[in-house]
Amino acid sequence: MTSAPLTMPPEAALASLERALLDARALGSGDLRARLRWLESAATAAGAVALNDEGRAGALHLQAALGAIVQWSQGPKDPASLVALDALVRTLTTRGYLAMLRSLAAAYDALVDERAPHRAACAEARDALRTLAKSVEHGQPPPPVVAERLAALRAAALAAGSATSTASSSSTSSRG
Amino acid sequence: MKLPPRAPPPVRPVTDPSTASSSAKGSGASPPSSPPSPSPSSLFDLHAFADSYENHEPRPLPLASGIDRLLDRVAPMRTHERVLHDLGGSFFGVAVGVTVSQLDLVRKNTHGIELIQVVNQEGSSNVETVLGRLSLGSHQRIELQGPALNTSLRPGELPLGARFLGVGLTSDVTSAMDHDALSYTVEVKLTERSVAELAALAVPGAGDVAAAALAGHGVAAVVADAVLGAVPVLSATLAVASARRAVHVCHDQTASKEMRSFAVAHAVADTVRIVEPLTGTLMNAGLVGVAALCGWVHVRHAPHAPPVGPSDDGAGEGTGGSGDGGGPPFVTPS
Repeated sequence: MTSAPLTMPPEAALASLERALLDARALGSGDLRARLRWLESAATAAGAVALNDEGRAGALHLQAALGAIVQWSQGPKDPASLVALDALVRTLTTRGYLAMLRSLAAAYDALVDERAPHRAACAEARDALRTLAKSVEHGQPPPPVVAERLAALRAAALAAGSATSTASSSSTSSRG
Repeated sequence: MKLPPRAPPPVRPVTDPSTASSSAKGSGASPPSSPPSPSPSSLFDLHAFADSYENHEPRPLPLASGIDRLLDRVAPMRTHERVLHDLGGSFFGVAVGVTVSQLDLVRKNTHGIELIQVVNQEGSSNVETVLGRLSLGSHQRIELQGPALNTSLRPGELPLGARFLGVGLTSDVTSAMDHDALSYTVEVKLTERSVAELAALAVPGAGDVAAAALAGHGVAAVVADAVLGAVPVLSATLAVASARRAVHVCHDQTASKEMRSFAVAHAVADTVRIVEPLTGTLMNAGLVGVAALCGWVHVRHAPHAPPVGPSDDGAGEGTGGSGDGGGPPFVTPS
């Protein structure tokens, strides 16, 4: 663990997270070193984003996955234990994902309670995330209802964006 | 009051003892010679029930029985466990242990989630769950251990810990009458300590060190798995940050409706991005475009400040502003 990410400003942390996500696309043909470097930078970027304890679980599990690989690399490197390493890494990343999904569902719950705009979309997102978390927890593929809800969300968000822009332009035009 | 007749009334068969005693008092007749048959509704008739372990349990209060009913839905099996001997270690960052313990089956069922209250040797206590079990025959079974909350009184250990997931091989010998059991469990579990220990190894430069050590060891597939698993975690982290920002913005009374709407829309776009990365990214780009358009419209139609020239005394300060009275004072360079 480093102290540098904790002092990173929030905008820079989010930017590094965005960069890590964009870099992930180029990793398909990357070598081992590039992938491990990416994993390290991804874990650091995730840890730098200022979130609550529940939200930090994702970063912690990514760091643990990298730590498991590092520990295996420092040991006898028995090929028979690769299966155990694989299972451990998968478990850690899945647990991190699950923690983040739950944290996200809780954030949407707070948005619904806060009577935010597009409350129906927020409730829809919360339910979709809970369903997704349940399927991830049981090791099953996401049910079709999640895709349906996300498609509805996509439409709602785009409609919200256009409605906001229309309302904004009309109100400013009438004012000016 | 009507006096009883002088002649004794005929003896009737009595089915209820309470009716029998009242009618005997009222009429002054002697009680029937044959004893009344036992009634299940009588609280004083202990012979009406079969003697079993459950009959000697205290009657629960209404609140306690409500909690019992709730617990029966969530965790039909409930066990009290006292640890007799515990051996533990760490293998590959994951906790491994053998535990011998005495169990009291508080609620004996064979299916469903089991809730276990564990008392350790040093006096600390844990609350653990077992999600499922698979019988292997010969009284052996494999159990999938769920989340658990551990406390510790041992020096050098964290006072509060957690188990996330575990697998155990277990068996027990149960006494039928008092529901006592002696049990052993061999378990492999992922605890908060395992995760923290492994996470501590991810120091800066760890990726390079591991890559140098792993060259040609066939670990590329595992690393690729780790990378694939990390991408949705990052997307979800970004979405959580957006959603939490949206919560803050919506909580802020001074934020405009437009700002709130954009904050929520960005959070939704980042959420869609978890499952559909391309769509989510395009949505975000679209929202940024819409926000830029809104900004441009605001600037275009906003009332502009009148041009301010140097004042007569040459001080160079004047007030302009947006006309709404909300803009900052216009300061000319001196």
